[in-house]
Amino acid sequence: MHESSVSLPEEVIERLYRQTLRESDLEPDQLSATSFATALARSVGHRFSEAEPSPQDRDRYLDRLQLSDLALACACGDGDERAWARFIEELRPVLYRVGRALTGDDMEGRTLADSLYGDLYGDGPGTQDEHNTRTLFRYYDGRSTLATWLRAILAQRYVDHYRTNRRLVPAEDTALERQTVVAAPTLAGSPDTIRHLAVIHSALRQALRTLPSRDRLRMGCYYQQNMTLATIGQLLGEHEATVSRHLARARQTIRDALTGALRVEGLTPAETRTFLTEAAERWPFDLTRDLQEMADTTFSEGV
Amino acid sequence: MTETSRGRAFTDALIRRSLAEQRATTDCPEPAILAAFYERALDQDETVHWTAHLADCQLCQSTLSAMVESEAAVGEPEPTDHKSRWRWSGWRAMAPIAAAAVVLLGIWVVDPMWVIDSKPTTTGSESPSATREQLEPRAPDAEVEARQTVSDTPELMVASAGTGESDRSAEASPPPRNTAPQRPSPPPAAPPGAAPAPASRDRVRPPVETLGTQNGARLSPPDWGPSHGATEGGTFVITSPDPSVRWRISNERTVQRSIDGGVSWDSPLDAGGLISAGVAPTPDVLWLVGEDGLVRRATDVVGWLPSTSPTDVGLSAIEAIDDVRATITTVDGRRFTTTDGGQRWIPDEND
Repeated sequence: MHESSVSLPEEVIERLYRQTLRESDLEPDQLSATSFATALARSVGHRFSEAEPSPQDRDRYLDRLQLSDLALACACGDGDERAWARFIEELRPVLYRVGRALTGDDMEGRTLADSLYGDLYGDGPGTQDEHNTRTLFRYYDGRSTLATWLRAILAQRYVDHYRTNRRLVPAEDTALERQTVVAAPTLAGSPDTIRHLAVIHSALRQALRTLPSRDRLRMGCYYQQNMTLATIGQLLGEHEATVSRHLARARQTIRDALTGALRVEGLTPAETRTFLTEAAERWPFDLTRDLQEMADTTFSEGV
Repeated sequence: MTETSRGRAFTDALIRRSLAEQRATTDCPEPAILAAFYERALDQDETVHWTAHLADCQLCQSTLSAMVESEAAVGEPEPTDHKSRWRWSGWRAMAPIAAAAVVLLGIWVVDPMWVIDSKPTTTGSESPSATREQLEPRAPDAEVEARQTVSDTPELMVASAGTGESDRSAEASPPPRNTAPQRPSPPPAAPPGAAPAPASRDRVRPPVETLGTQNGARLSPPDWGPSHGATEGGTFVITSPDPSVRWRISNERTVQRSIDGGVSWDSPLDAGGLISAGVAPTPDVLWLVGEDGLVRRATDVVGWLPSTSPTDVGLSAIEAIDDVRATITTVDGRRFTTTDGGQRWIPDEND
């Protein structure tokens, strides 16, 4: 989170502080008013990027915060032992389960979840101000529940570690992959065929670029993340039928773009169907190599 | 596969490949933003702003996908000691029994009608085959169309770990992540350990069979063993009221039956077309529907029983009571009912 913050009126802070103490089961000695006020100001500053929000916007924002969770994060960040005990009791099991769900393995999941604690704990109770250290809790802004925020961190770490691991794939695997890429068949078609492929490839990219971002997100979730319609709907707050409808429409738009591009190339609808069918039969092939070979051929013929 | 469906599949493959060419951007949101997006707690302007980023960032999409996948875990029971963890392992070892138990539970809570949710599946590591899987057609266009009309229908699917990551190239520059300093130090009750570096998603996330329920909640049992390993092109399982009897659909058209809860499978039977939905109303009856009006009915794996189709339009859903009584739904929402095993179909009066 950016370290921006805005100044909040004392009465607002006091109101929220009292409200939070009532709702969070934390004792006044556990929740420092200063820490809480700082967390609120940081959260508001993060949202409004240091631009002073109107009182209405500010209050609307503050009223939507997960104040109890923010208070627990503040108390833990300040090193309160009872707050930590509560965190461990309530959220550690959740983190373990999430870790297990992400990694597919109980022990790996625990290791992933445990990797958070050092960052959450900072340099230990009572040392934050003295050593200017930062606990990860400082980055929690209260806009989501604490559990979801922690889950987002775990998910990011899992994905990042996965990516790192991809970079460290054994040399022989990489070599094998390279070999396979080289061994990918060419389309072995006429120059026209290859040109048509290039045309639809270009049309496809253009069509994707012009889709609304929400459509692209649905398509990314569906085609790249292999999420079901239901889970995409869950993510975006849509009924799965709505997701399905939007996906179908986006695909139709793309298909129209492809056939339109081929029509410009002079293909009839029947020829377009035949072309797509034949290309599908030979898929996957190395389009890049096909294009290169076509360029080479053209060059030699020109010479 | 018909000529048209090949063309559609090719379009899908092209879309998948083009999306895979997208590179991670460099202004990824912090976990707080992702979490707020996930809980839809962002303001409208923020939602628009971050959706534009998420639409093109496979990294963030992967994170969101991981969050969705771990959603169900939040409410799961947690083994708290060594003994219970051992029991968890034992549960895994008892895969067939576990499978049967979960299926039985599923049968209790949902109607005996299942709609296949086609997902690409892979086996093995992040290998060329996995890359190829990304490029190959996952499902015909009818899949999405079919799903349009089944939103309120329970669904049953087998989904293996997706390899959506595989196309996210290693050379893509890492976006800034959580900017908090990394200060590992012993926590009060859980010493931090090195974060895991799983070899691949395929390894760490085995194929998992997911049971959909009417309210959309999902049960995700542990690994059910190699008999449920997904095959290239997609594998789906349709359960019957008898937990030991189930039907497996591979590549959206090859059908196999298991009478021992998925431990072994009979010889495959070709449906002769792409399948979009199926139901096993009784342990010895299977109905399937699919593209171009495909209707299939079987009571064993020797062959298909005679049946006709009232339409050439793709079919998206089927409900059945037994081997002679069934109602099918077309992708454009029309319904037909048979009471004689598919010899005659009567259109729904409301259509």
